[in-house]
Amino acid sequence: MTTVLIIDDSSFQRTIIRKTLKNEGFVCIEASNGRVGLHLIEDERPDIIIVDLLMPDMDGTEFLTAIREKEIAIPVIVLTSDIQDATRENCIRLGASSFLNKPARADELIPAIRLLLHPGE
Amino acid sequence: MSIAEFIRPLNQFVDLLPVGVCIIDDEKKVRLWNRTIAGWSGRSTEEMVGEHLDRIYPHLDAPRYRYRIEQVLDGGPPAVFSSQLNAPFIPCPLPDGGMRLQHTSVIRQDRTDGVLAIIIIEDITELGHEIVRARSMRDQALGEVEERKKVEKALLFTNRKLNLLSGITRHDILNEVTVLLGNATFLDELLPDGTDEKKYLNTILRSTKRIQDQITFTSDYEGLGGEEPGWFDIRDVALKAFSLIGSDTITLDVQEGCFQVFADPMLEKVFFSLFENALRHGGGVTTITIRYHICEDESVISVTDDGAGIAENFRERLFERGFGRNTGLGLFLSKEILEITSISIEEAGREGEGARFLIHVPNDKVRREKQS
Amino acid sequence: MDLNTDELDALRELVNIGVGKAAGILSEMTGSRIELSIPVIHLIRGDQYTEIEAVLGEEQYAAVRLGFEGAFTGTAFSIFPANSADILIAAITGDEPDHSGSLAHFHSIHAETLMEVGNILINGVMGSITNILGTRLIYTLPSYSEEPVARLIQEAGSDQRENIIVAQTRMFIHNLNIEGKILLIMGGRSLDILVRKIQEARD
Repeated sequence: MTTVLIIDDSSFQRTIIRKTLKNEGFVCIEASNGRVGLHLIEDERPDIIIVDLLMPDMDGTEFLTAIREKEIAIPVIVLTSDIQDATRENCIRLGASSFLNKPARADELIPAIRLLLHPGE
Repeated sequence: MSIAEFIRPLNQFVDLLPVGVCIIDDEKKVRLWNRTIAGWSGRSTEEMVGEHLDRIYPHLDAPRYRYRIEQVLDGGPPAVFSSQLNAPFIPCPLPDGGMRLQHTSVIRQDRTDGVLAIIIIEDITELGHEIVRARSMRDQALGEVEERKKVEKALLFTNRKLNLLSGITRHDILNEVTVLLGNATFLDELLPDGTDEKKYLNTILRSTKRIQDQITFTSDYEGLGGEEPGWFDIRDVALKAFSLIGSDTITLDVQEGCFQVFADPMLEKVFFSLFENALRHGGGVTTITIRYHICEDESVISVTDDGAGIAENFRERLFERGFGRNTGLGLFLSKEILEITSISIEEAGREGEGARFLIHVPNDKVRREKQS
Repeated sequence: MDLNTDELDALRELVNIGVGKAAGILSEMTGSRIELSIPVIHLIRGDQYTEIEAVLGEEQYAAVRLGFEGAFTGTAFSIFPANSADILIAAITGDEPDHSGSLAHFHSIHAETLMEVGNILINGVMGSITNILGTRLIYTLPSYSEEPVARLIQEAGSDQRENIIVAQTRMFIHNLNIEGKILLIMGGRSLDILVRKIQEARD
């Protein structure tokens, strides 16, 4: 069973993503910021991480930097309201595997997850 | 009501409007293209209806247009496109080669069989041109201010240079004059009295002495016009100038109270000059009186003495350069100093009744109260 | 009525998504990266003038107004305090804004420019709200004015200004700090419906 870690400071947003993923049979765990997310990674070893950018305490770019430093190889999808190209490029440069814009649409999110789980298919 | 039923009756009406109207469907196909936009764009209604707008105008495929148009078609609020932030929505060339400046609104219209976006284009070219003209005038004014600053700086520099040069020149001339005077004096002592040679030598000595006086005198006026004018209290200035005269035969009576004028900092020299003239040539001056007279258009400072007054035939030439018993420069330079801030001076006394100098000051160059 | 933590959180996220979209468009238009901050949301009673002043002040704002009706009814404003509006104008047009009224032509162009920026912001937010909550609204044409907030609120109908949702946003364009606020003014019934729609989206 695939476990997805959802990191977003908005419980509303986490709920929407969780609803979408549960329909596809994914198990979801949630964190409200990057710091809590890092702890959960160690405890729960998720298969995929979905992370927001604008969060208090530890934001998305700081999170990406931290997991790179810790050499955590779990694929990360950035899901953000920021649609600027410069933001996308920065996240990819920091090691994000995929970059999507909010609102999270099932027809974008699910294929992105499946591609990361089974690359080449 | 379907799209076709909506569009059909509009055609005649929209052709009357002085704004460009284009209606597209959710595939961005043109469903209506009014006469005004046809005329402006150079593309006829027949040419445009049925075409994809973003195929004819590919710039509308850029995210900044595409997102916002699609947002409207998706059910969002009307979008406005200003002339400052956007290239013209539909490029409309003008006869002079420029482009019409546009303010564009995109508004959704729901129909039973689809969604439409109504694009309304207002021509604000004239407003835009006035802005460009206003900006150009503003830039020109700023440029002129910059130029003026440069010129002022250059003038200041030139002034300093001139002062420096003339200082050097004066010094050299004075040195030579000193040598001349020295040798001429020795010669004078050697020549017997009553001879023609002694007479000619005395003329040479007098002339040389005058040269020395003039050179020394001009060094005092070196800074004329080189510093910014400012506000000076007449009483303070007069008392200071009088103290430099060092006379114990003349009394100075200056009106009490604050009376400031806006003048060149050499104002003190003006009073010095007037007092020195009274002392040297006044013909028995015992009192110099300074009074202020406020009139509607101007204020007048009178400087009067109780001496012999000035001869009628001298009065007209009093302020001419070179006229007078000493250097002939004192009153001439006084007039120049005052004119820097539009102040004038005249002599209005009567022979035998003392000198009466009147200094005319425009009221905007007068202050009656001390200000910090 | 009051909004609970979850409801405020949902509104914040809806505004966040809307502002993000707007920032993307503005970034392309200005050629500059735009840094965003997390929006701050308040709910104020429309008749609590002291509270309005405490949150929004008495100053003049450059305001873009958008009326909406449908599933819920009300008025939305995108407002910039005067100094942010001035910074924006200077950054975009290079002009010093004129408040003396003597440069009328400049003012029209500046108003037009501010109207578009406000329009982009407000459309982002309204688009976000209606798309995510699955609602359809009808809108008025946007209009521009410069007024203190109290006057803006009065323009909403008296039965429609019971509640004011204030979303405070900050954008950094060309390293310039631009402060903007979104106001959603609506009556009690409309706010109930909005809250219900948020609940439906969660469930």
